[in-house]
Amino acid sequence: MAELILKDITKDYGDGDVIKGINLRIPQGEFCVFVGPSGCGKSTLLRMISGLEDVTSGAISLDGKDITKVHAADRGMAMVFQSYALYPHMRVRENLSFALENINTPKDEIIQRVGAAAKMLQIEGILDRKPTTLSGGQRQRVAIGRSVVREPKVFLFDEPLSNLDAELRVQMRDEITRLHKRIGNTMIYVTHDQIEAMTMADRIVVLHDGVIEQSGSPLELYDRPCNIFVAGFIGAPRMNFIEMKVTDVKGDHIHLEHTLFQLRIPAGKHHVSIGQEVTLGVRANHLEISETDNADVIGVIERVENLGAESHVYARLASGEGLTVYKQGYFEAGDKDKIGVKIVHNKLHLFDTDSGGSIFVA
Amino acid sequence: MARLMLFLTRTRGVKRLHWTDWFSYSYLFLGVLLMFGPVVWMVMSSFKTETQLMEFPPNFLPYGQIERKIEGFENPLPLFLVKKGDYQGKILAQSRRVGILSHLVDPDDPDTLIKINVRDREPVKEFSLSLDNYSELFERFKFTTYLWNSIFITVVATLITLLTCSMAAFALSKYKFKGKLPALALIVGALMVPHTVTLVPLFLITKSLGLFNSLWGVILPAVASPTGVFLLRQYMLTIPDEILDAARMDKASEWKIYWRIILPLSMPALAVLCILSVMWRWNDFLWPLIVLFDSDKFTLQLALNSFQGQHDTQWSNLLAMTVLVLIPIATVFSFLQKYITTGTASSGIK
Amino acid sequence: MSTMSKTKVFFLFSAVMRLVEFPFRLFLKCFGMRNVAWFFLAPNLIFFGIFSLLPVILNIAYSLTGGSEILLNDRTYIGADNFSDLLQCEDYMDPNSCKEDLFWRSLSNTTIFVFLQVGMMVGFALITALILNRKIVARGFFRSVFFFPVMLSPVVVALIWKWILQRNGLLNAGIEYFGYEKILWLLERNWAFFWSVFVSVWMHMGFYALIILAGLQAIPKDVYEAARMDAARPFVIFRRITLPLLMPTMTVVMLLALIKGVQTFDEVYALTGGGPGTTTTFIIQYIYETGFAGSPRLLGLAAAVSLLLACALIILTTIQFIVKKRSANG
Repeated sequence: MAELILKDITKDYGDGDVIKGINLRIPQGEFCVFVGPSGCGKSTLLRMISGLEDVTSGAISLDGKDITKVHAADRGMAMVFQSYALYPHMRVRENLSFALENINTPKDEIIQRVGAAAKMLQIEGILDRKPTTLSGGQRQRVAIGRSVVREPKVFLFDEPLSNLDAELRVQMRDEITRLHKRIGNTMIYVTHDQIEAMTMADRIVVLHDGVIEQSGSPLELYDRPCNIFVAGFIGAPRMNFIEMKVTDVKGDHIHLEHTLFQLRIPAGKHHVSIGQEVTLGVRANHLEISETDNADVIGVIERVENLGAESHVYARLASGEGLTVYKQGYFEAGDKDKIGVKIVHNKLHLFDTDSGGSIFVA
Repeated sequence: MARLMLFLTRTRGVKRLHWTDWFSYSYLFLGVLLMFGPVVWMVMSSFKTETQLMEFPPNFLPYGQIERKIEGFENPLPLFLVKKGDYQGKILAQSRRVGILSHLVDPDDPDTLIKINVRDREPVKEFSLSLDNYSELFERFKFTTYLWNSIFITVVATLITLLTCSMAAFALSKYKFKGKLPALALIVGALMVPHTVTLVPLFLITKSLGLFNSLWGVILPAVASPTGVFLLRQYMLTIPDEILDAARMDKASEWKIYWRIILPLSMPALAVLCILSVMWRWNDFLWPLIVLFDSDKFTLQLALNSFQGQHDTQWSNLLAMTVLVLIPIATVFSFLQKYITTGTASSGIK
Repeated sequence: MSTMSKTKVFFLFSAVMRLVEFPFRLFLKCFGMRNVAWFFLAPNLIFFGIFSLLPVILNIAYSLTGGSEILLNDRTYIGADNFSDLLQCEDYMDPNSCKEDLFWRSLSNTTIFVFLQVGMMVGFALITALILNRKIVARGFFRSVFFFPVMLSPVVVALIWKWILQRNGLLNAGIEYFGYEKILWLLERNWAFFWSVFVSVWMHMGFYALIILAGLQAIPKDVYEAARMDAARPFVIFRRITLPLLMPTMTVVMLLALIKGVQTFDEVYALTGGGPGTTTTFIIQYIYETGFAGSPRLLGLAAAVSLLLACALIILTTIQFIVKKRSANG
């Protein structure tokens, strides 16, 4: 079984580690997405898995075999690059067959495999064209086709959709997902776009500053982010954060205090102590707009994005924090209008302000 | 005509010709005359016979005196138009000249001899391209040897230059390695010290390698052209590294990446260097002048130069040879002029 | 090229390239993947070392030796004598008072030549480029007209002009038509010097015009549009917008012309042979004649002059790089 295991992987370009000890097990057939802000090391990690980049320390194994020192082309992996990296001077057909020629595949087999891949990706009609004459979507398909013909154990995708326009991106997202369902190989996909991660992944690995912040299924990450970073990164619009102080833990309630308001939330299991500085995290769709009289907190509207089916209201508290509130349908309000916000008490996250770690999930 | 004027004066959009436009076009047409004129003049002259070349003032077009084969005379006789006397207006052939008397015969009646003062007749001329100057080059001079030497040097040197420079440029643009910076610095340094200032030691090295008076002695010293490496490297830097990575994933060896990916993708820069190298080698003068002293080894440029001294400037053959030397470059240029001019403008190298 | 011969050429090319795969593998086996870059650098570096680097070092050694032997081992070390000989002058303004009078004469010839040539050339190149940058008919054609002499061989250029300037040449026919006496253009000192400058400008001007033209075209169109919106007159636009923005290009062009001008040899040597007398003998010709054409061959002296010239060139090129870099950054 093509199980990929990364053990204590680090990477040092000479001025400190960019990858700081990654441990990860990717089982056969999983669609695993590495996501993180730019510079988090996700592409470096992918390139180390591919063999294009040396590993400073640690080991990579595939199928139980150590492949840390194996040449990129011999690892049984194929990669789709961000810029597609098609060979501009070769026809599509030659682009697909180049790798097979290099491993001295018999001519008939090359023809057969190229044909099959072309059929699967619906690029049969453009086999004799040069990449420069193709549209973005076609190039993307050719790039994928180039990896498909090699029949690799693992597919690697390095931000493959970032050069496409929005509509095409959605379409190709869908196609890659279907490709995965169809051939069932392990796929590792790098992106900075959390929507791509949420929609495509079996499992998301959130990377930040060269370490794994959290790894898990999309909904796990959405519902139970293990720290402020993951909470802020996954989900759009971004989770709201308000710094508060624990004033009391009484029975099954936690009392929180802010300069403007107080909050009493029902608590089950928690690791909260009195006097602790905590950050309250609440998603925009778990805030409700209400009358100012019975609101938890009152803010001033800075701007409203009316998207038609939904509206995002950006408000600012007197203490300076910004709040994003999600509302279905239209929302009509003038700038500087006051707005009351009610916090849904059973959808809350508390993080330790110092460490950023999750200490309570409602 | 009015339409033509309209077309020619349509240059500054709505307005009619401004005085600056008049100035510009006058300058340009004067430029055409000054730049093209001398070359055209020389090409025209190369088709003139020795006697026509001596003519003063010279004619633009090569006019030759008509000669006619007349019965009873061994050689063809030159034709003259009689200007005075009984035979005025008649065209006669001159059999010989005695002092100021010209012995003429009527082509239709070759037996009667007519004697006329030389001032009373003038030669009958017609436009004729004389190819003698050219054919003589091949008959009397070792033109083919010079041509072969020049072609050999140009082709071989260009091939080696393209190969070594592109390989070095590939290493310097796509690899990180110890010693890359010193290597680059050396090449930039070499750009500053052209071969013209190292003639003495270069001469010694060529001599001790046994390349003296050999075509290889002309070819090898300049194949490691720093200009070429620099030009190609700048271009190769624009080739995305991802393509190389893709090829590595496709199990291409680094050598294969070089010749299957990098070389084809560097075609535009290689073409520029190819043209430059052909031009440098074909036109090279000072270094061959030092290395080659045996006339069997002469390039066309050396032969041209030695002609003007040795034979006390025998213009007839010299002109023909100049034209032949000019033709290859002129052909290359006329086909690729747009390409060459843009290439030169962007690289700033000649 | 037909497709058929194209594939044939490609086939031959790939066959040759495939052959190199074996030495390449061998190299990797011996030196490892880490040193792969050196495989690609090696051929160039070998030629470079033998024919570019070594000569620079040897040149210094040669300049410190005397005699007429060719091999360095046979030559006698004479210290800085070559340099002191070169610099030995009673009056630096008068070449005749110098020990190596020909050196000083060629130096002063070169200085005057470069001064005139660079001035004329850059001036005409600027005018040409400005005109070619206008909206004119058949710009490509005119651009080529000015550029093509750059491609010609110096000897050919010299002969083209020599044919016009000869005793019974086109120019003399022209001036006789206007009632003047024939002039022996290449045998009269001042005229010979003028024509060597002229021919050299004729030959190289197009190159610099092309570079200036590229500089002009690199000036963004919207700058001009903004200036026009500010109601600037064409001349003001030229003086306040075009010229300042073109200045970096002009400086580079001027230095480049200077660097090339100092090394002028081919076309002038073929045109005048350095004469009449030594009127058009420039510094490279002096090196050539001292070291190679003359007898005995004074290689040490020639090397010493080369070294001085190299220093001058390095200074000029360094300035050029700095200017180029600064204009690229700013």
